[in-house]
Amino acid sequence: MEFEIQPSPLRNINRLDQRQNPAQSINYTAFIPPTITDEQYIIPDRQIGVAVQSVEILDAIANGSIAVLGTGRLVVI
Amino acid sequence: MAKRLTPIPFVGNPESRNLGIQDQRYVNIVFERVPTEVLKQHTIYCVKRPGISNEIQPVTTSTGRGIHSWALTGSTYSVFGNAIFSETSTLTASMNTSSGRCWFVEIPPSTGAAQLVICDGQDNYNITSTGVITQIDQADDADYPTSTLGPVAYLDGYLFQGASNGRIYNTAINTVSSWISGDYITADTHAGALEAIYIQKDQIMGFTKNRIEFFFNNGNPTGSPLLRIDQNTIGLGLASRESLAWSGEAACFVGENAGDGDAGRAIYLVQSLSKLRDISSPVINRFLTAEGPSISSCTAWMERVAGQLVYCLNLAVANRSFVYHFETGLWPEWETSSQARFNCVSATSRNGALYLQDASNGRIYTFNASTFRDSGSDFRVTLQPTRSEFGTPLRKQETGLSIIGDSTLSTVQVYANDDDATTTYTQVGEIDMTSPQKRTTRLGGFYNRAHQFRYEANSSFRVQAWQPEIKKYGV
Repeated sequence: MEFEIQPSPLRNINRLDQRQNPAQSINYTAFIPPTITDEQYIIPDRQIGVAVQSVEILDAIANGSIAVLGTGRLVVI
Repeated sequence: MAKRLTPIPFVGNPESRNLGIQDQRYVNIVFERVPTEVLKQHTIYCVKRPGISNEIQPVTTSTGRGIHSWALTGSTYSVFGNAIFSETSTLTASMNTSSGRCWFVEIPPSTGAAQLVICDGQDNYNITSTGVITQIDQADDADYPTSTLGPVAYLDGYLFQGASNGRIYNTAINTVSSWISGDYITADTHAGALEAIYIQKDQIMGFTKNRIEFFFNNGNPTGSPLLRIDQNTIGLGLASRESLAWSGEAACFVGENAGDGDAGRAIYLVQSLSKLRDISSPVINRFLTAEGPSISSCTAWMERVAGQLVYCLNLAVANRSFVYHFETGLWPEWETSSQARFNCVSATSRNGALYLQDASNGRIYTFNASTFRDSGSDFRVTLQPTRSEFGTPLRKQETGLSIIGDSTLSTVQVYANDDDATTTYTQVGEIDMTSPQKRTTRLGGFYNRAHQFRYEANSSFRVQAWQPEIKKYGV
């Protein structure tokens, strides 16, 4: 007889609260990509499979000019 | 003319037709599998188990209740009777209980101070790295859970403890002594009494008598941080927390569903929090069922012995020890020099050495593969393959018998039982294990025969197979 055990589900959003999880010392915020407008276009099937080393690109991601959606698409705004 | 049969490997599981010792069983050995992947082959050796050597004796006579090596201090902590020891130093001799298994959990320094928590099922004993011990009970914190079960678990800064009312309590975060009355979650999906808790990866398993429930840290803002993963609940429970043992990412226990009666007992393995499966056989399951309520008197431990992980389950009524080998899935038995169950109740390891705790004499032993006696006394290896009529129901003669194995000291005594209705084995030969040719001759006539090989010398013993030479009468 064999039973499957499922992994833990995503934790409660409170998990991100430092007060609820003081063992975690690094502050971080989740990046929420901006909504897509008519002026944006999507480069299809562009894999983000390499490390981003360009400071300009990182800045662009940080200020919302470039959004990384999911694992397979690069959105240029 | 006698025919030399194909070598028969010394490999097998218990095949007792009842609760006796009549049929196939291998005693005081470990099965060692050596794979050769490139040839898609593997060799199984049948090796004498290590012997136990006296290490320390914190107290002269007392009930062994558990040992744990704490890497932080490099010391072994043990509980005998109502006393807790660090090596041979007494930390306290006034525990509230003096029998029953004790449970250990290490608290990391990220909580403020590293501690070792021992629970005896009534109180907690918190030990600092400098050996200061603090007893925690309701007198210290009115919210300390009453009727705790013993098992304790640490997760994300919380200490968790199960109670007989089905609640899994937790401390305030980053403390091991501050309990909050409302901080608990209940393991009660199917109304089974909580028996134990145990953590694997990031989930705490709540073992009730008829279900296993799984909880994860959901970061709830109030109350218990735990949340049950409903779809993980499994329809069997824990027969006795004394049977629960673990090492790394593997845990074994005797399972049953009390709601269905205790006839459904089996031994289960949960590994890497991905699969839970039964690993015992109908023969072993019958022994488990026959224990009845005395299953709570069993003891169990899991450790690496002679290079492989084993789960040792000592049954009180049967007075036998079954030892599961993770490498092979086989179940040899271990016993003492007086053919009683293996008398060690708890195990731990440190710096490459394995330590075992005696049930009653206050001793802690080392269990080293280069030791071949138990505290100076020889013990017997018994290899008892299954009965055979060797291809014909007619009467036949065993003209010779060889063992394929390593040269070692002394002899192997060959016994035989030629009457299936009896349990008596009679010696029919002796094999000199110092000789290059490990063979004996003229072993007598029979219709069907069960062989038994005994080795008791103070030496290593490793064999692979045996090879009988059979001659039909009149041929």
